[in-house]
Amino acid sequence: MQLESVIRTQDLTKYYGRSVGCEGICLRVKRGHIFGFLGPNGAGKSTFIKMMVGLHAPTSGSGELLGRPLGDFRVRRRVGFLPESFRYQEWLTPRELLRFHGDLLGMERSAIPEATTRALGEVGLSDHAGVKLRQFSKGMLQRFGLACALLGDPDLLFLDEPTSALDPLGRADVRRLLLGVRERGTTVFLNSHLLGEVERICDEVAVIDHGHLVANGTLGELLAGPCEAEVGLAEPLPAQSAEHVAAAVGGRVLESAPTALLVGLPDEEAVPALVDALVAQGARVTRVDRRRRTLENLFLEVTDGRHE
Amino acid sequence: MSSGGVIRRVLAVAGLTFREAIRRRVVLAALLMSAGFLLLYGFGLYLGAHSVWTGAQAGFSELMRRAVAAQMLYLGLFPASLLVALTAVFASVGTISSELDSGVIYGTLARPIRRSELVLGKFVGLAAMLVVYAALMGGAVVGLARWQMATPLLPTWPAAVALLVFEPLPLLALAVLGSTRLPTLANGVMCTAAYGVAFIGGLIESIGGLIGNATMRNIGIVSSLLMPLDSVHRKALSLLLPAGLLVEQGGIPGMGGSTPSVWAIVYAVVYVAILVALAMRVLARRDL
Repeated sequence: MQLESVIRTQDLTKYYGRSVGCEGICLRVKRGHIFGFLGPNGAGKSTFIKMMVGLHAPTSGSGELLGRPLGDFRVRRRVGFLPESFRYQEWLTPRELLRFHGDLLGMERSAIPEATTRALGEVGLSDHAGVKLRQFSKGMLQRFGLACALLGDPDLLFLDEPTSALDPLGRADVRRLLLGVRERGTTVFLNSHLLGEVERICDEVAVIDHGHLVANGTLGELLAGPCEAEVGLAEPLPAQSAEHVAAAVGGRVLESAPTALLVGLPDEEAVPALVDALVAQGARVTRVDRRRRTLENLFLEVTDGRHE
Repeated sequence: MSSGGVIRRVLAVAGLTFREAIRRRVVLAALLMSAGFLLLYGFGLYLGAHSVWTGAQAGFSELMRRAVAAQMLYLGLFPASLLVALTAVFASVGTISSELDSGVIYGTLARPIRRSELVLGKFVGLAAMLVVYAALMGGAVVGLARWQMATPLLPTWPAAVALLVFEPLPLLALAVLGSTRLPTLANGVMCTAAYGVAFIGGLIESIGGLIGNATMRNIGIVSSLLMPLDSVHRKALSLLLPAGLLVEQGGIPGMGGSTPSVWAIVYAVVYVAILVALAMRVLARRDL
């Protein structure tokens, strides 16, 4: 299937007076992907999302959302947005507020009640459709915000920290929900601090720091490259033959203990070759533990760990 | 997108704004104050009527009776319009700014709605609330006066009532405009000051008219250009009550001077339209 970009930006730049919101952002987000947008606080994530949903006007550069230029309000009929603040008219019930949003979306009036029921059901708030939002906990409000973003079956979802107020169970629910949404072909643009969450569900990620894009690619591409393998041995192997084996597969011994080795390898592909070579040397391998590069490693590298 | 879409979105925002306005404490407080005022006013009218028809002043001429009745209505409409004006200010000074502070506005604006439609919807919703409130207040005051004192009204009284209902809208337009740019509190101060300017300006103009001082009249005219509120009120009174009855009393603030022309009303309507258009423009150009 030909993948098509639903978000496309070219040198998108936003200055606030003299300070940089973000600068020269060129990004493509493919249809049907869950796209993770990462970065330290103040790096420009929210600036970017606000430009996407039309809250901020770019200083320069251009962008397209679902094939329409940024700032075209009509395209927002196909876009759902969960703002970071997730604050809503608290004196209304979810059913009342979703009716309002249905009106703004231009949905068929007769279709709104059913769509409301479905959206609330997806986030587990079916039993609270008639309860005033004022009585909601933060977690419930965030779930409601998700339901609101899902109303009208958008083609593109912008979620700004969608699980910040949720407990681990709630996070798992949202993860399932997003995977289900992707199944339906919806693209999800996910802004999150929770690297573990992102790593588990995102197809592609971008990292922004000080207003600049510092990494962008599929998780596979970004996390490829050098890895480490920790090998357990039934009996000690002479140090020299260990070095020899590691070198044969393009790696080197980083640490060695009598019955364990830590080998640095050029990539994950080298792990089976390493085991084969060890066995060929007469070693009896009891376990192999591959230590992959994590999103956190990547994040700290590309942002220089300058922020917390 | 069709104009049906625009109207639906504006009405959706207006409906929500109207509902929010009438459930707010500021409107509840205004209604309680209004009820208290109407009770007092009704009692005052009763005493006045009693005095003029059967009491100590029973010997008043018919003309004097009519004058007292007109005077009572004139006096009753002033606090009524004050209450409506203050409600207009306090119910609407934060209509955009408070939603920006809380973040509520982001959920709305991420929808396919133009910011100008949001502003217009807010204005329409608040205007609807104020129109209902002003109509109730004006109707109650006029009704009480008619009932107790058989106050003589001009045949143009429906136009007068329409103007009384329109009266809070210039202030509302200013408050909506302010709320697109100013913090809620600063906007409240600005709008209250604008009301003060209109009121004092009208007073100075009246006195200037009475004593023939052109400078004072001009001050009044400038103030009614800045906030066309008092001019609308005076025009309404001139269409409601036979002017002779009040002018004979002499020295009554707001009635002694010349009656505002129909252009003052045209100006007020244009003023509202321009301020609302400005509010749309300011919000549309702002980063939120």
